[in-house]
Amino acid sequence: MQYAFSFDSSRCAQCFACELACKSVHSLRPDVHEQPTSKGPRYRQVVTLLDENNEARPIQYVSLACMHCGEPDCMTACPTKAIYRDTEFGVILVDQSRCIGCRYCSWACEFGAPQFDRDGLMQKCDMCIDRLREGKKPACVESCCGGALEVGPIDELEYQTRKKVAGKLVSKGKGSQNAVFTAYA
Amino acid sequence: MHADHLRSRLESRGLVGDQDKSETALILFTLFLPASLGMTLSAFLFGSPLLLVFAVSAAATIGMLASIGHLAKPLRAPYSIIHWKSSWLSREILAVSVYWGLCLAWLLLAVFGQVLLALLAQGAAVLCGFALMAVIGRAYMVHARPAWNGYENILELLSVVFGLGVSAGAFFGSLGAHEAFPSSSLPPLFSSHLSPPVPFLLCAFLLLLGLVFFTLAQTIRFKRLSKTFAKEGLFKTKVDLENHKTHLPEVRTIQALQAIAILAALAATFIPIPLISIALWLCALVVEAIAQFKARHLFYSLPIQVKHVPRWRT
Repeated sequence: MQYAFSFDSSRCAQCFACELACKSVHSLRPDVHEQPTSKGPRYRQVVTLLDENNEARPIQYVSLACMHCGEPDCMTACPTKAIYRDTEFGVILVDQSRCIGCRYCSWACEFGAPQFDRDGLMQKCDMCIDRLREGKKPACVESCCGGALEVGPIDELEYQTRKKVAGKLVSKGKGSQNAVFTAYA
Repeated sequence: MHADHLRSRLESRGLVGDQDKSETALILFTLFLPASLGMTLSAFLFGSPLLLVFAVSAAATIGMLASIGHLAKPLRAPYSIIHWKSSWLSREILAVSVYWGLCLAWLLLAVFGQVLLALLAQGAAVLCGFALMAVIGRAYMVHARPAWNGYENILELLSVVFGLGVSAGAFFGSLGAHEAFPSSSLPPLFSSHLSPPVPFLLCAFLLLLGLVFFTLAQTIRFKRLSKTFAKEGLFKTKVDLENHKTHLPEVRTIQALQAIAILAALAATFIPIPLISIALWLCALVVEAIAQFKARHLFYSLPIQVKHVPRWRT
């Protein structure tokens, strides 16, 4: 079963609770400006996007962590096979005992997921797999006060998203009055 | 806009990877290995004097050590060839190891006077070296780094081969070609049948080729990025292209230095006084080394990661 994060930017208030909860649970260094251009490992980062072309929402916030991609570029790029996929939740994990700290994965990843601390070995979001195994949600999801972040099997998340979109279309009267809407489970 | 100012603006918005590390080790790797290939190639012109063969092996060894020095866990380096089936970095390390092995084999065979086998090893090293340049260039082509994601990387590496490598080869070749130094200490492996100034003229031509490759690489990269980014129209991509333009003065400086090296090489070719000729080749080598170091430093400071946020449905 493949688990994934779901993020609703319209609910994100840039409170950074997700980033802080992640740092707390993983005991990451809290330092923000320890070194120039370095903020310490940040498995989850809240990114501000400016879109001059979007008049309705010129500023948007995105809580970005590892995407646990279906075809991860980092896994393909890693020369030592230190990056692998967990079979239970489909989470992309790193075996630090194999990592050589070449940072090639950080070049390959489009989302800035691989992080490096003083030991130079790669570390990143693991979707709080220990918590998932206990039936809990990742720390970032639990701490999100706006309900922007969610986690679950990817099929279920996709269905929920489609249902939400369909609901918005119906409420805006986008569909034909004679159309029949059928929801597929 | 100044590049540093741009970078800090992007960082405050979380748009740039914020874990910089000095890339000096990789700069040295991408300088010494291509230079050793250039020296191997130019050795054919001078009959492969032993000093040049030593220099090739030394440069290849330094390059290899620099690549290991880049790692957080250098002792785990042998494991890095495991994933050769999919990782270009694994393939690069394999190719580096084979090339280094061939250079050492060439050195050993040359020391023991096995001329034919040494020639074969040298030829194999040249072929393997060019394949290595292609693999290194390909390894840098990652989607997340648009400035690196093009085949012009290989042209830049060839610029180092023909610029730095050939000028170094010509310098060592000039040491053996003139009576200023006793030739018995630098015996050529074979007679190249090219008498001065022909090999030196060829070296000067190859230096010019290095400049052409560098210029071509920069032109291709900028045109490629303009085409890619012009379509996007997003703030962060506009800023990246502006940031890229601020590197143009650096490009011009590198080109000027390479031109100076070519002029020194031409002067060294035609001046009949041996010591002055050798000094001019040394000058060409030093200037070319500075130019290529700046070029590699420029490569690693190009606008890098553009974080792509997946489109979300609302």
